[in-house]
Amino acid sequence: MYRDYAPFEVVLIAYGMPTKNGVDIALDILRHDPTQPIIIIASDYRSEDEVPRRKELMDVPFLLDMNNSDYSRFKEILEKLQPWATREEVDRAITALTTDELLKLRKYAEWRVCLSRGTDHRTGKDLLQEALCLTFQGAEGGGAGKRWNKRVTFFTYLIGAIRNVTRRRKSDIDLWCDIFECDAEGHEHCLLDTIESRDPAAEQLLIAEETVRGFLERFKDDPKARLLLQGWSEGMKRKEIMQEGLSENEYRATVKRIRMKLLGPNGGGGGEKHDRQD
Amino acid sequence: MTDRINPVDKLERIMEQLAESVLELSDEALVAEITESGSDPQQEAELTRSLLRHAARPPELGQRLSNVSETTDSHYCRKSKGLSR
Repeated sequence: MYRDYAPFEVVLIAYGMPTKNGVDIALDILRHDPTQPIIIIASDYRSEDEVPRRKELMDVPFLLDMNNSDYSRFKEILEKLQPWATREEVDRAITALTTDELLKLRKYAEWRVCLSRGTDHRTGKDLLQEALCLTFQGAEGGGAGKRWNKRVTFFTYLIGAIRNVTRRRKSDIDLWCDIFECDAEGHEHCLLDTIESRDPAAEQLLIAEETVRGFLERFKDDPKARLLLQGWSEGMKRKEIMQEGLSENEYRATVKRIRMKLLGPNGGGGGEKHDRQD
Repeated sequence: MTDRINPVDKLERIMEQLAESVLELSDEALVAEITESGSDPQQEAELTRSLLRHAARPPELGQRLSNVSETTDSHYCRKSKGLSR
């Protein structure tokens, strides 16, 4: 099972098990991955010194009781075992990001920010920087910010951090590209800035409804794109949408068309367009 | 059934799918898409790196690196320079 699902942040092993000794399991795991953090629970013993241990396991922490008195020690050990990145390591990881990773991060942030643009009209760049700032706060210790666990790549960590920030702020979705409009002199402004706010929730519903309708309208001559947009809006999965008569290639090409039209150079996407006002 | 879904949820689902679709792109497809949209992938990548480096700088370096935010102009940079909108 370990080989199928590894790595784990930590593996807990009972010292005494009916069929196989916990020590043997720990040794097997360490042979497979010498960096895997492990804690052995030896609840049949009263003190750690009584637990017979092999020299290969001298660095593996033992716990006597997971339920009561040892819980704070468990948390302490858990904390020590995690390979949290330092500030310098994050700096080095930024330097090591490949061109493809950087481009993917940039694009991902540009799309994710549409879920949480907020009243200060955040952009994809803001989101990337926010994820990084949180990472640096986390690297300082003290419980604030986000911490990069080096058991995942820096790129994977950043994607997760960006996703997390935007999920936390989903209620900020109300500001999307289609609610920017031009006045007679060609200056863009955000519709919400001029709305007299009486019932923000109702306004949000109205704007979301208009935005979805606007999306569908923009693809009125593209039935495949409409199928995807409608399917997504109803929570359909890729497979379910494809069962409506789309091949893998058609699905992929349609997603690309939607992306390009909504956030491409002439797509009227949110952040960049709004940025130019400043 | 469709009509009973909250429009905000509908919009969120669409945006979520579009964002996640970026992660499914192969490296070649991503570069092609960026080129097709009129940007230079290499330049875009380096701009992103400076943006990340800029976010990473210790606060005391803020003044010395303030010119970086001219090229990576984001709300975060502006905020850190006291230039919020």
